[in-house]
Amino acid sequence: MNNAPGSYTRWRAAEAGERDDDADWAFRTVFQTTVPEPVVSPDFTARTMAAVAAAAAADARRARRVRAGVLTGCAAGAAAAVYFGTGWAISLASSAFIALLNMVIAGTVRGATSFQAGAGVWPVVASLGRAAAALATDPTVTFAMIALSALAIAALVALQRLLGSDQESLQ
Amino acid sequence: MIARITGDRAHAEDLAQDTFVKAFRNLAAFDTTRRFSSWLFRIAHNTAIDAMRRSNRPLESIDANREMAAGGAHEPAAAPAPDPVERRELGRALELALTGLRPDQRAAIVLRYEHGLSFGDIATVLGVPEATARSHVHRARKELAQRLTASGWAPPR
Repeated sequence: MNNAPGSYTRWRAAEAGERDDDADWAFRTVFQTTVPEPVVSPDFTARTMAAVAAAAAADARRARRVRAGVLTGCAAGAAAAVYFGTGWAISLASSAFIALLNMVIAGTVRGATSFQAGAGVWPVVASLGRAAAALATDPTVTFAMIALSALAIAALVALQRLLGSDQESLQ
Repeated sequence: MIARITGDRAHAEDLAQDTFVKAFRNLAAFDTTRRFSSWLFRIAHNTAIDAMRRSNRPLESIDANREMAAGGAHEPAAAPAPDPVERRELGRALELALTGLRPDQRAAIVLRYEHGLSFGDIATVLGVPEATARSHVHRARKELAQRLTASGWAPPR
């Protein structure tokens, strides 16, 4: 402690002489040996821990509310989709099934015809490919594939959000 | 640090508490490749500055300046002796001079000389380039010297 005034002298001399490093070093000693640290109240730690615990509880409640909201929304959306989309979905599925059946029959017929005509393996494979392409380019089938992909993506996103909310509440 | 930036010790504990709550809530955003103390100091600094803005407190303490200007209150101490009383007086004068600095300079001084941070860490806390942090410290120290001279702590001959 007794070196503070000496450091003060050194600091002011260094400052006057533009010796920045010396001034930096001497002022550190002056500051640390003369300026008292602010006094912290004894219950500060307990109050802070209580505030952090309260914040954690509030965050967990908020996460639960968000999760409940998302779940309610998803359930309502699913119910509406089932109510309004069942007939349309059945029609779409049956169209897709018929198209698939057509492809299998066409493939079988083309394959059998080619074999009967004595064609090799490649023309048979090519005729099967053409039948598959005809199925894929059918607007109903294309739409059904896009709809299924969109549904899968939406389900993955919803699942990820729900798991994310869980992690937040755990933290 | 918050007490020194705001100059309001009563309010500083509430702000420190806010700092810890904010840090807890944003723990996931903490970059583990950096120093935790610098991150915490940065939150504390921002919390203190926000609180000063909210309360419309002037960013420079005019009262402290006036007090310093009128500061022949105690005897000039051209060459302070190793006396605990004078040391305390010097500490008080330094604290008072500190409250007259701009908040960013005040923060730079506190971080550098009270908490022993490097210029790089001070720059991180204040959100400025390292050269600017260095300049804040340098200028603040010069200004403190001037203020101490004005209040009777003349440089020893």
